[in-house]
Amino acid sequence: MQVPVVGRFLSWHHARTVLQIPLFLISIAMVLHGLLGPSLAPKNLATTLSWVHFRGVLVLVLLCAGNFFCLACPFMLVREGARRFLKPQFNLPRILRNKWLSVALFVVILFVYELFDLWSSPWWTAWLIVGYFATALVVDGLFKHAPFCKFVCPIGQFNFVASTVSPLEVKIRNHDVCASCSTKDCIRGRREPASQLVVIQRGCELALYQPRKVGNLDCTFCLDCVYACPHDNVGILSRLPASELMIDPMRSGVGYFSRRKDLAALVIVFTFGALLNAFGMVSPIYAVENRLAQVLHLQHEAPVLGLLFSWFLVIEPMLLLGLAAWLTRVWGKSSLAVLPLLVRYTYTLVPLGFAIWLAHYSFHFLTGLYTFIPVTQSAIASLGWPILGEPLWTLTGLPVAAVHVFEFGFLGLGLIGSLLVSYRLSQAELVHPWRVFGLWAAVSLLLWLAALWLMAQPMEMRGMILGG
Amino acid sequence: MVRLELRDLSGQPLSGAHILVEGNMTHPGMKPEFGEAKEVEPGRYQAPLEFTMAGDWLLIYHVTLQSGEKLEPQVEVKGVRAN
Repeated sequence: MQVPVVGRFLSWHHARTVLQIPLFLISIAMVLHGLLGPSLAPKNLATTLSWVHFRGVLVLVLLCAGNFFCLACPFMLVREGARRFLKPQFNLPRILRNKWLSVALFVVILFVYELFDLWSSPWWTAWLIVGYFATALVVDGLFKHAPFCKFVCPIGQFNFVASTVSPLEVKIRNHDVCASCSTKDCIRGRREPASQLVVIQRGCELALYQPRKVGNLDCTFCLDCVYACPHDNVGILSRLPASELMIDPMRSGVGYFSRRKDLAALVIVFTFGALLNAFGMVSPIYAVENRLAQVLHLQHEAPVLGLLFSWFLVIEPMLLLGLAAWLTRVWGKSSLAVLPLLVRYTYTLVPLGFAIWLAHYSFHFLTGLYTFIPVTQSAIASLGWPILGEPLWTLTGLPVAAVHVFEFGFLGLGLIGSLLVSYRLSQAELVHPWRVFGLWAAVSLLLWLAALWLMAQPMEMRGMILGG
Repeated sequence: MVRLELRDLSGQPLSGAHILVEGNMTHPGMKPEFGEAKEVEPGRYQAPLEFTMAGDWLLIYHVTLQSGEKLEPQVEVKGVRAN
């Protein structure tokens, strides 16, 4: 917040709205073009901006900064507008106040993406965007605080997990200042002096009490705590990436990582889903799908995909992580039981999981960097305003060979990050810390080798072409 | 090499057309490939086009007839395999 220009801008109470408006307008353009524009994905704003530019910029911003996409989320702009007229009446039922629903939605989105070839369908992509807006409105229209962000939004959950390796964090500058604070505005909000019932600045809607907040999980970078703090003691501060994964204190609004099976499940879907999503775009997947269909006499893609998803997201992780956890107990002589060990050490996979998403999404972003230009030219011209000239369809992006260097570099960084987290966690083991480190390092190495193999495979793009 | 034959409604070959073949994949952000067609026989055209990646392609033929009329027929080419 003390960086020139940027810090001053973010300190302004309307910064979030100013960032959200352009993204909202772009979302509208994407939906309209998706529903009414060309059905060929490379020529449509909905598919080009969603699957090339949004995903690519998202992961690069998470890598270099933090969860600024949640800060600028256009779904929340619409929700804020609606809440001026409709106040939510209910609290989200306790049974839903965990990550299980969002884990399920994350899996559903990945599944639907493959089943309906969303990347190739402007029409379905547009309806996905509309669905997100509608769900945010319904959930946050009915329930108080920010339940959509914390317990529902799959993009948000992706951002929360990925931002645990970001270099920036919203946190307090000086604990002593908070120790002497009696109003706790960061969580309760700032109230009018004349009437304590009137909140003039909202506190954290995601239940993250700043003095006890640790890390970026569940933080949307909304900056409500920054604006509410009467002592200017909350800011966006730098930190060592992934450091929050190396410790397990009680975290406000989150609890202990090691006791959150739902969070561990989210990390498993995040990591193994990264491999699965990339696998869906290389040649071997079609051979696997065909073989499965032949052996099991299946005519439709859905059950074949269901089997692949079950393998990648349930069976394989349980076998691999379960075996590592069991060996940690019997060979590493850890004092914890197998399931708590599995939960605890699952978080070591986050840096590598993020690296795989980063390699995949940055490939599409960097090789298709300029493709939004001809698509925008064409979209504007189709309205009868050819003011941007003839579409330059030959514009693409960086050469594939150059982008491969970034891909393998990201994977290398991810492996180093996972090894470091494994090392730090294993040092807490009393009897054989190095054996435990070796086990979880082997898990990371295995996944890294799988990712390397994937990135080296020839790509094969299949999908709906016309009438999508 | 892609080949295209143009005939009018009475079955007569249509010569002298300018044809640009555009090849697109299903994933956005992929580079389209272009090939300018040459007329090899009356009404028969062929254009060099490189399928740079395995998968499904859509070919768009940007045709301008001698009369000035423009056509854009499209052809799906599914399951292109790597060499």
